[in-house]
Amino acid sequence: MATSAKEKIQQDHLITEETLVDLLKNKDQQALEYLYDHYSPAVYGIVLRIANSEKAAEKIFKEVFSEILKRITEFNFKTERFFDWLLRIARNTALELVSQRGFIQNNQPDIVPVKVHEGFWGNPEPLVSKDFLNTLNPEQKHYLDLIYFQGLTIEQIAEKFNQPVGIVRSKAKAALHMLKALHS
Amino acid sequence: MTTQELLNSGKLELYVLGELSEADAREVETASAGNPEVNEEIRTLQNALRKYIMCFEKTPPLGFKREVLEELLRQGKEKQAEENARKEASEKFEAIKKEAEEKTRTSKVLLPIFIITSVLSLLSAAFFAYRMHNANNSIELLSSDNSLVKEASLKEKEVLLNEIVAVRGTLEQALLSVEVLKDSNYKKINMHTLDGATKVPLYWNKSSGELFIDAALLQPITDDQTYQLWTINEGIPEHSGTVVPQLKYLQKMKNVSVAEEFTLTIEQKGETTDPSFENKYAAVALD
Repeated sequence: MATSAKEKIQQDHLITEETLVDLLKNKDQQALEYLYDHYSPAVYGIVLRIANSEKAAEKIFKEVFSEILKRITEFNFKTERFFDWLLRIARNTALELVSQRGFIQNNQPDIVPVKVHEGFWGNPEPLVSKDFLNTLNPEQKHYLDLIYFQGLTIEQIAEKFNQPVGIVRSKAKAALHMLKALHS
Repeated sequence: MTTQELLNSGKLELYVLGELSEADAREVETASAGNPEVNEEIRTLQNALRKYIMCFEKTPPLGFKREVLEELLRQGKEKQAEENARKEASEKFEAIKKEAEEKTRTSKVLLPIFIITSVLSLLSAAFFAYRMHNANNSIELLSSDNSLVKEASLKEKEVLLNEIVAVRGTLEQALLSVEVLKDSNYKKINMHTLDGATKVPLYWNKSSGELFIDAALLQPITDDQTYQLWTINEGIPEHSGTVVPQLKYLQKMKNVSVAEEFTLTIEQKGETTDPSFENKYAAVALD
């Protein structure tokens, strides 16, 4: 099975997540390259968004990949999709490293090109060429950014921006509802 | 909480965003386990969030792939080396453990042998110590015996010496007796027992006064009695000496220059000053 999967990687560069995970568990070099080729943009995007610095992101990115390979044996298809697991590991590792090393998360404009539209709390809005993203209002995007990329809890956001917890919770749920609506 | 209540509660959104407490998250997971409607809602929300996240996809810098893969390869080799070292250490540990167990097993087998050997050695040591002790005792006894022997030997030597001295004395007396007998200056004077049956000879040199008696034929007497020789001159007895019966040689008596009579009496031991003529044994009157 492993040999055929490798052959498949060589032939058409298309394998299932299950096969990829099996090969990664066996420390297959071609599977590692396949992982990088197909998943590094998603991982690097998360890391860069969390680290908010290309220099810091490069360092963290290597460690995130290392962490992915280290924990690949923990992965279980029955409980999670591989891509979701990969994003979760990338996010948690990046947040942990940023927290440990004191990287400043202030969404500097040199990290991601932004158009300086002041959001609800005066934060820059990332300028990404995604229609999906553009349909969200700045406030909703900011909430999602605070929760997902900065790892803040509802209570921390409420405290940080001096807002009632209930209001923040409602805004966060509304943002995700909007994402759901846009997705469907 | 019904499915609809759960769907409308907003908990599923917070669950997908990771904003629920552990207890609430567990409640959602339990509710979704056998509930396709809840599962579907969660999956839809996750897909929507994933889509949002993927909006930030960014291709890493060129050449970064090689760096990352080399770094991962290096880490993999280090990890492999660590695993090998750990495995080697583990194998060594197992080998040592096995060896220790083997030794323990061997010890279990050998222990009784060692104990028996030790006991035998101990007994042997005790036996040899006992033998040694006995030997020492024997040596000491021998030494002691030797001392006794020496002592006995000394006593024997002393006895011998005494005997030699006695013999020598006897010999000298004998030689003296011979000289007296050969010397013509000595006059043999026989005393006679009262019954006349036995003669007791005296050899007297009248000029020198030396007097000898031959008591070889005297009869033995009791231990509390002694033979005493008296010289009588002008009716007065004078003690001339104690006579030992049955001696083979001549016994020298006190010098006597003048004598009218010689008398041999049997006296009680210690009585040498006053003869009891009632117990006169032999006598001779001189001319």
